[in-house]
Amino acid sequence: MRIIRFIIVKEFIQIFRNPLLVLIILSQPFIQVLLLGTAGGDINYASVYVVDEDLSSTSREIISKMEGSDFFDIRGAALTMDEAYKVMEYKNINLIVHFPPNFEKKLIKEHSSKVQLVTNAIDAITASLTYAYSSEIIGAVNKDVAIKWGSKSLSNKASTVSIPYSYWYNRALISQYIMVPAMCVAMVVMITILLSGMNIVKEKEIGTMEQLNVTPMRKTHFIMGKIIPVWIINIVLLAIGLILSSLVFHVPVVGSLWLVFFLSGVVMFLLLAVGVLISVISNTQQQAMFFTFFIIMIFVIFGDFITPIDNMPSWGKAMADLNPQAYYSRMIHLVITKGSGIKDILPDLLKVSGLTFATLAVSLWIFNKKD
Amino acid sequence: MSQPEKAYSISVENLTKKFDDFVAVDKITFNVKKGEIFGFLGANGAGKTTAMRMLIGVLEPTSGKGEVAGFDIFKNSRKLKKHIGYMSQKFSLYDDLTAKENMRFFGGIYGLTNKEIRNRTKELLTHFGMEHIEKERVSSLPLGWKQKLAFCTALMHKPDVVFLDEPTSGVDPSIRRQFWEMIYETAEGGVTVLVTTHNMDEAEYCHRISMMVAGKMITVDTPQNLKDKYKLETMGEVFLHLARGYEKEHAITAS
Ligand SMILES: Nc1ncnc2c1ncn2[C@@H]1O[C@H](COP(=O)(O)OP(=O)(O)OP(=O)(O)O)[C@@H](O)[C@H]1O
Ligand SMILES: [Mg+2]
Repeated sequence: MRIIRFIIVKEFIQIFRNPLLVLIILSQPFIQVLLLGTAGGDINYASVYVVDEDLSSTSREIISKMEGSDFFDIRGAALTMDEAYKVMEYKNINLIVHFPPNFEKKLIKEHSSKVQLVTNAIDAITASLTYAYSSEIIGAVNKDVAIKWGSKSLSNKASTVSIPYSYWYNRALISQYIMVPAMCVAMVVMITILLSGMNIVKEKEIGTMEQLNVTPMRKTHFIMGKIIPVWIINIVLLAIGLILSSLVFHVPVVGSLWLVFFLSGVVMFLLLAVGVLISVISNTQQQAMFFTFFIIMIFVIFGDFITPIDNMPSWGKAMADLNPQAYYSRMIHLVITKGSGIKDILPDLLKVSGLTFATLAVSLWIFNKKD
Repeated sequence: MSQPEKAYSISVENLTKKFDDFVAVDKITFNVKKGEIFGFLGANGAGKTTAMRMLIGVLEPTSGKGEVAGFDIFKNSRKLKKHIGYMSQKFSLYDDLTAKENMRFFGGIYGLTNKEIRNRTKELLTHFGMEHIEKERVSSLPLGWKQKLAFCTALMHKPDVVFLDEPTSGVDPSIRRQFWEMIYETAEGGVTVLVTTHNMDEAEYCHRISMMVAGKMITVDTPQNLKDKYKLETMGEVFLHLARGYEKEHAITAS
């Protein structure tokens, strides 16, 4: 235990002796939360074109639900997709909703049917928000349909699929309420993996690892000493991020703030474990940097932010089960926006802890074997 | 449990390391007494570092036996590590920490108490006349002083045996002499020193030396005996003579 303390002290001295690094770390909440949070800030509506080739009650229900929300502004309808694409191009429409012929019939007969959503990705943040909102509306209609037609498979689905709650709990539909916590999550994921991923490999590169290998120090202690400082730094960053989001964007934390920090602390250990794994499989900082960016990208893409997990194919969902960012955004969303308690997030917390131990065990095994 | 008094501080028998088919260290056998300064001589790639890394318990030997400070290098590497110090060929202290912080950190890693760390740091720095660099960042020190500091750091936990891998390469001659004085003082205190070098002048300073060529230890003796034996003036000449002779013999048997 004392040994861990010596490592932690050394790590902090090294970090604070590197002013540029400190500046970069501390600027993250400002850059990511303030700037990127504001970048998505004026999105409070999305313009929509409809291509309804079905003209059924279900398709009309979905359209009217969209009309009923403040977020969607239905600008018109087109007969064909080609026509709608042109409009999207020239008039900068955010979303095309396309109901193919026999949409409703198929839904009743085959218990599943497809709506096509085409988002204008010129503005990626608006696109992802638009996509998320419309998926929620369709999800809600799905449930209604399931109940109405009493379809077995659909009602099963309705009870198992959990639609993102944002629409229901974020009635004002202020995009910052979604964007800002999401940016906090993204920031923590990035900084945690980046700092821990570069950390151990640096000692390999400068040669101090060889020196440490000659000491009786245990690798477990070494890893603990390496990750605890990064953990502390990220808790501080999260606090700054949340203070900013409350002061500047007035994002309400509906659930318990303690729970937000508790679940973040738990998820951070998983992120750190991922960083450690990157660090032990890499031989140079350059390699580690490459792995880090690769993995952060995968985490973000499959992380319920760009694409809602419920809209992913089954392999995407399977990947989300291994993705710390997916767990993190889901839990943060539940607690900050919906006000869920520990009971609601307990299954996720347990899974995260399981993944943490597994990742650490693998890392330690490789570390002991390799160096 | 009392440790039986060992005749030798290091005793090695047929120690071998293969990397795939390549034999980096080939059946080396030697013993080193307590308090002795034992030199590993050899050209680049002779296998000095590889041999040393097996003795400090970070590289697993392919075959052979070895005991250092009374511990088997195969079975007891963690216990062994408490009793040895190591200065690697590549400089390996933290550049962004001060001299004192480095010593404190490594002392802590070896499990010394805060008081022990304070006393030992002071003792070593004063003893070797290095108090004035205590608060200097390592990055700002000249190479010679860095090496002296690395040596002090390797002595923090009062090891029985220290391994120095080319401690003076690239260091200017005056500091090199100071470094060897440090080695002598340490050995007089009963610490066994195993040091590698390509510098033949330094070979003269060792109590005994071994010469390695292509992984093999071709001779082990005192510098004086070797010079007498071949009737040569300097260790450099002895080394050239032996290495050439070995290569010639080898070329003949190979053809
Ligand atoms: N991990 C390894 N894998 C494969 N070959 C290795 C490895 N480590 C060392 N070698 C090889 O073993 C041989 C001996 O290397 P070693 O570093 O022990 O030499 P040395 O006597 O210390 O040389 P130098 O004076 O340059 O430090 C070299 O040919 C080297 O390429
Ligand atoms: Mg070497």
